Amino acid sequence: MTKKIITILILILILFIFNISAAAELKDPWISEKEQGQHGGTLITTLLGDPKTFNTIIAKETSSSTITDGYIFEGLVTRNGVTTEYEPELAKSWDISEDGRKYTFYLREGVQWSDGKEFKADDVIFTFDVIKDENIPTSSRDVLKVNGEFPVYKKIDKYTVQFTLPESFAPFLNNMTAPIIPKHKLNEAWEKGEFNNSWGINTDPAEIVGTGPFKLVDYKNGERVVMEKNNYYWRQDPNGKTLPYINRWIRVIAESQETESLLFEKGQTHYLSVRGIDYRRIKAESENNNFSVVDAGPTFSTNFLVFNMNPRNPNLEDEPYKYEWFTNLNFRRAIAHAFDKETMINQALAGQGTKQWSPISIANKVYLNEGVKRYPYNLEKAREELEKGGFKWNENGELLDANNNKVEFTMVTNAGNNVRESLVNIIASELRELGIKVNSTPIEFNKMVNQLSSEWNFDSILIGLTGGVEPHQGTNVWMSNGHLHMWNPVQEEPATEWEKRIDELFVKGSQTVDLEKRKEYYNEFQEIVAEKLPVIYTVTPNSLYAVRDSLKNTEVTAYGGVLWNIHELYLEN
Amino acid sequence: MQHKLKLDDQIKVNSTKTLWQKNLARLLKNKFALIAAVIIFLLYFLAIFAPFFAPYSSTKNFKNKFFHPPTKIHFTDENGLTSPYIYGTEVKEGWAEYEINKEKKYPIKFFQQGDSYQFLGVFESNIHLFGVEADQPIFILGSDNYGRDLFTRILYGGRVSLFIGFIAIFITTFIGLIMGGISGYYGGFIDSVIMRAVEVIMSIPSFYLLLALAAVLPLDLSSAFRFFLIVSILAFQGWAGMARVIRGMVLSVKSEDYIAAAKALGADDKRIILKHILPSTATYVIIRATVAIPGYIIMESGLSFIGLGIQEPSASWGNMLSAAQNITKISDFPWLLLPGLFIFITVLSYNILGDGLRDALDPKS
Repeated sequence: MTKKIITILILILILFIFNISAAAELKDPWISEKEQGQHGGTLITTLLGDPKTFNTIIAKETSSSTITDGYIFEGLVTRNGVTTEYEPELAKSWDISEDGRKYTFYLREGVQWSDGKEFKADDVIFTFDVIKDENIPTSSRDVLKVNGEFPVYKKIDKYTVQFTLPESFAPFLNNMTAPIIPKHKLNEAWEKGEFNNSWGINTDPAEIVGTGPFKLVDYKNGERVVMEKNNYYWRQDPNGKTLPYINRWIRVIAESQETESLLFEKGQTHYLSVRGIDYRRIKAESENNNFSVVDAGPTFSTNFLVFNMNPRNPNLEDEPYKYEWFTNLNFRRAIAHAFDKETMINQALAGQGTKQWSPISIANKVYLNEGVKRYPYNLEKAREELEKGGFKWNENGELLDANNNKVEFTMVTNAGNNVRESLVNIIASELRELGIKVNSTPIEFNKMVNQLSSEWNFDSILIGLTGGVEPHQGTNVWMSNGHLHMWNPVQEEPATEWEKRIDELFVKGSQTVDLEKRKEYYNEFQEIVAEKLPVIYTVTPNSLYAVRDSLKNTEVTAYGGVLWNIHELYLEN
Repeated sequence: MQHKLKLDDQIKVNSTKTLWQKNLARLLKNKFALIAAVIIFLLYFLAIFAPFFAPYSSTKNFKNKFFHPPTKIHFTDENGLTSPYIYGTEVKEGWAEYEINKEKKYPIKFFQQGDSYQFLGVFESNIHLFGVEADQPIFILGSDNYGRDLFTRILYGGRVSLFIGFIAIFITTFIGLIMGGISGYYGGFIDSVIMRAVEVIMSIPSFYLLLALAAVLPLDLSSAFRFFLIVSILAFQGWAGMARVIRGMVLSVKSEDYIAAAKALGADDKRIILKHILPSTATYVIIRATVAIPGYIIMESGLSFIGLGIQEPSASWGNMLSAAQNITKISDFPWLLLPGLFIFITVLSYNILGDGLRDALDPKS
């Protein structure tokens, strides 16, 4: 009898303990509105490089952050992959005070880390403590600063955090997409000052804990990253079962884009980012190979030519006239008229691209100003502009400036990027028609970046940047004191009236919360850039994806690619 | 009596031919080597006269006719045999697709006027061996990514790829002979110094030297000059191996009687080295040069392939081949691989010729 009672008591005790350890009930699940899918299956995709760390806070390279961000770690808010509008992620909702300075985030209750521990306001506070710590090498710190000050943040209760900004700052929500890391796993390391060495690539995968749809189970250098479903995930299918549908996700590390496309064509991966040159072939294959090719429109990336207008260029001692050419607006307009974008699309992007005129990415539906000044391909107009700018031609057809210096300059781009190398060749060939000699050389990427950012000794560089939705992310490029203000970086005072105006527009744009007002400011900024041509835009590739038909619920976009809604994707048997 | 006369005759016949004439005769008997020599000669001839044989200039681009397949040349029409002509092509809907327009024929004209060029830096001309009129291009080997004629660029590219080896060989041979000769002849301290220097030079990793050179050379050098610079520097490194072998040969020749005779007659060292010792190494030098030239051709291709050699818009076989590094290009536009075929033919011919030369020059045969 006593034995029985003891057994029952023990059983009750076990149940009780179990109940406690199975953390608080998920109160605010997110429920998929897509069709109900089948659970299970293994998704196989490719990665172009090895991760350098799994510590997303200190990750510098995209090869690391593409593994973690959004899949293992999540932010308070996110952007919708289709509309690019803000959506709740770990925060279920938020308030912004009237003056635009106080942001209060209400967290989803009952969200669990992938090891079963509950996600709380403390984790959010911990994440921002780490980012704010000057000993942690993270780029997020500067991004979060508003007017040079880190926002003040505090925990209101277990599920509420509040940020107070020094002044109204519209792009703040964009910064709240920063991934949140678990305090219970990393606090000790941080307090000991070992945070920078935590979660390197040799860490036991079970130690790496996030709130995202997947957790890491294996990583083999140069071979693959394997992830498995996070059974505690807070998104649910229409039937109320925990998402994601996909059980296991293998990400094969491919050496190159060639390998990626071979793997896909052999049927070993589920989707492929298709390059323009391969579009026709892959499209032809798609008909009887159970996959389809999706054209998601122009990407957010840009390619442009920038001339060195920096009076501090060390080469100017020998060639002072180059400064005169490059700062001559007629000269830059002539070059713009010599850009044959039709041919660029055909030859560099294999017909799969779009002409770009404005500094805002074409894919940016919110802020793009389509009405900016355009410079259609016209060599006659180019010659007129050159004449207006005081240039002339000698009897051999070579272009001379007003002081009879032959116009000749170098144009570099990073070696290995076929699209940019082609663009340089096409531009150089057109400029030869105008009597300009262009010495074009692809150089190593790091060398090019040094020339742009610290040595300032280039003539012209063809480079690209990847834009986002939020124009304010471009401050380091467009504001005259920016480090990436490529034509004349880190100015103490804006060198020209129009640069001064752009500075003003960016400050106003960031302080105004009203979207329509912001659009006005950024429209004017785009008009100024198109008018003054500090950089001359070329063409933007389209984002093309080949997706296997067995992968369902996909909604492919230029912003989010194929995997932005990976929690809703499922594999059909 | 009769017997003796016969022997005398033979001696007479043999003595009318010099050593080199005999070698040449032996070489001409080797059919393979002969064919290889003819092919090599043809390639060099085409490359030297590239501006005349090519229908266009090396940078002439037909913007709308990129990745154009080789143009088919017709020799017959409805009336039977006729002078060669081609049909025009039109850009079709869709990317890099062309349609043959059978309505209009473009006759191939010989000694056609076209882009003007300077030949050997002296003559100016605009006569090309063949061409078609107006804006209809003729691509006998197809066109590349930018709509440039591949045949034209192969000929121009050959100028770089084929001549690069000569410069390098010239430099290596020159330094190698002198250093090897001095080292072997004098021996002792001078020998040790030169041989230790040779060992130091041989241990420089040439590939990394190249990478470093490509990075430091100024950007506004013309790419051909830049490349000749790199090759000459490599050649300065390459003489070491040659000097070593020459030294060995000199060591063995030095103790021959005729050297002692020359010394006894009072010839100075310079004369002995240049007139008596080095000529006996000629066989080795010729064979080595023939075998080494294709090595430099391959090296040029390799360097240009990884982007360190000749840069666009200049052509070389290596950089043309590197433009074909893509599955789509190889499967849809296979003519882009033709520069590779030219490299292959050249290298093979050189090797066969080198083999033939070795057989012909070997005194034991």
